[in-house]
Amino acid sequence: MAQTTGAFTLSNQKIEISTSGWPTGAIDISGVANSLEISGGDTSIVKAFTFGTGTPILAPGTKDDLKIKAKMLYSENTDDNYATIAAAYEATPSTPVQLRFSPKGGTTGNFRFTTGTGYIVSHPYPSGDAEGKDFATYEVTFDVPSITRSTI
Amino acid sequence: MTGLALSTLKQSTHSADLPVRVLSLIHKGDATAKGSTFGATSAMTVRWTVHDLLLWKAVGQGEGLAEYEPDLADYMVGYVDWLRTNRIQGNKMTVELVSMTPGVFEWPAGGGNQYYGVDAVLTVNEVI
Repeated sequence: MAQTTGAFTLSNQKIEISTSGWPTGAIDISGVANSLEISGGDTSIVKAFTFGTGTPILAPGTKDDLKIKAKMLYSENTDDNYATIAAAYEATPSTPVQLRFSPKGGTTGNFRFTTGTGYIVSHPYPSGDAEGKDFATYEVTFDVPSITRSTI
Repeated sequence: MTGLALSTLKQSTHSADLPVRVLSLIHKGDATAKGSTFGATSAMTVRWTVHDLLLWKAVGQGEGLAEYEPDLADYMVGYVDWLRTNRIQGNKMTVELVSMTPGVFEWPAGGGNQYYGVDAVLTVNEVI
């Protein structure tokens, strides 16, 4: 196979959140998001043994929920939407949120990954040290049931 | 303390000019920058390393280091005191680290003239 010419970095990734569906409620958070880390989503496996053989029969089961941890620059500018994100966590019950991200930048023809409706499950409060080495940041974790890939 | 503007830098520094401080990127300075957000107009962290070289007296003048050592120590103490109240500039620039080395320094590099002084190396973080 010839070596790929389509690899790229995530620097141009576009990330949006919404508390009121797509596309009207889309809030672009690419300009404050520093990193995105996705975990979970494991497929469970149903397994059974039968007499006379040493290996099991496997069948795919359900998929687990996914955790999306986003590290963000803490900013109090209205346009940076910290208050919206914090309010979604602080509401009782928590405000439903959706997330979508496009690794290549969100232009026509790019893939886009959209989550099902989930919730922010970790606090969004800024933390750090006094050394002044880096930006003030906060982290939020979204718990979502699924991620669906589409083409813009 | 007098500072030298780049436009007034001399090939050698005369006794009448001393003491003087030289802050120049050419004198071992550097900068590193890294992006911190996604997208084309990324927020960035820039780390500057700046050498602030004090030239106190020319080697050969007076009684030497024994005479000037208290002056250099006072300078370093004053430097730290100044940093205590000026380490943070607004919300976006912080002096992260300062190291100071008293000793004998050649200025300019390769010029052959040596001076008692203090080389203060400041690491400054700026978010832009």
